[in-house]
Amino acid sequence: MKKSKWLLFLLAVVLVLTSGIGAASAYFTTYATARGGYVIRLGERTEIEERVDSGKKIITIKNNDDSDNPVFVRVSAYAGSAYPLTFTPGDGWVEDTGKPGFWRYTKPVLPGKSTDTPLTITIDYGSDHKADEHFNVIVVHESVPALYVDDHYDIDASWSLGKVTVIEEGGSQS
Amino acid sequence: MKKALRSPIFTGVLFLLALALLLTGSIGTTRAALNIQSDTFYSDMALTNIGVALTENRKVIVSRDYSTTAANGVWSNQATGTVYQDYFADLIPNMVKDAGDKSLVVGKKYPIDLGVQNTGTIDEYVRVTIYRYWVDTSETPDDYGWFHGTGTKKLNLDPKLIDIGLTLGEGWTLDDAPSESGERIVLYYTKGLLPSGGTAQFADSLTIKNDVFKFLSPKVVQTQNGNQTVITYSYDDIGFVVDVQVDAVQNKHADAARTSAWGEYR
Repeated sequence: MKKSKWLLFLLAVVLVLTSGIGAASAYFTTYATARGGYVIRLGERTEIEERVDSGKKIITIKNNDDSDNPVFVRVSAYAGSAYPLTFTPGDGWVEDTGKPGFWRYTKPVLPGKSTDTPLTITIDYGSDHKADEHFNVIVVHESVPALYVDDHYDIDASWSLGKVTVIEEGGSQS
Repeated sequence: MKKALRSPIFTGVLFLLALALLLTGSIGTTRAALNIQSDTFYSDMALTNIGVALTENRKVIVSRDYSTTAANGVWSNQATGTVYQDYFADLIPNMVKDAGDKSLVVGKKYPIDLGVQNTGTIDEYVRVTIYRYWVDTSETPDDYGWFHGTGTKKLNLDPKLIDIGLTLGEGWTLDDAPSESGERIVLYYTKGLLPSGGTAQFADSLTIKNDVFKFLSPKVVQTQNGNQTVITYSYDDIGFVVDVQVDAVQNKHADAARTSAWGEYR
């Protein structure tokens, strides 16, 4: 008798527990996936390529092939008031109205390439220059990543928004 | 009476009766039935199956169909016919190449064309989940910088600089509760999609924003001739990944089915 009571109790418990289970529903579902991307290389390293020829510095700027990005460059030079400098721009070089004393190259310089034309700096030694007299010419060049805006590399946006890298190179000559 | 029973006539009558019974006893009942036969008719009973595909440039690049021709639930690469148990199709592998560039140009708006197609036999509802993020990868990218998107996720880099041009309208609507980081974008296609039918495109361009150039750390180094400023960019040599998943659910009992598969539908 005692055993049958237990069985009835268990049966009641099972009924109570299972009465809450609703109907199971299954639906058709599926999915598909795709993935991909590109590695970008930023950072630029430019260097001055300089040739000296009878009182002239003939300067081009090279964008080393360290990144995938073109750069815009500009150049200036100082030699002190005793040695005035004259700049002769090649095709593509213009005086920078935003930064006096600098000359901009208006085309983007591609990775691994140099400016197509040089900026020539002529040094005026003056008539009383002595042969063993040394003087210092400092060339400064700046570069900035060329920013692609709309459908072209925008030189103004690049110089105003981009981070400018400044490189100074000094050299004494006589 | 006795006399009649013993008469030979009665005996003869009984004999004839017995003979008649013997002869007719073997005759069965006659059955008549209409018997007509029609031509043979054939019918196919196809079970419904669901299938969905992601399309790029209006071509299916990956689909996953439950059908009688393939093992259920396998992914198939339409280009090669290869099937996989677990599969990510290649996404945007020719984007840079088709634009005529040698590598990805930051800031340039590259055209892409992504959509969804119903490759099953039943009507369905679809949604798209786009994940965009940056990874530090050990993969060797191809000549154009494309890679499969494997690597360690860089959680400190901003997914929103991967700008995906969404084409809302024409059925596509944006989930109004996107992820906080901007990594996940969910789009719902509000119309039912018929078998073999395709959606309008849900993305038409991809741009890596020029803002990636803002995250840098300059360092001044001494050189033989003077000082140089060397700039290291946070996004240098990092890969961006776009990961697209398209989900489909049957349109019968659509509300219950969507809630069951996708949670509370917005």
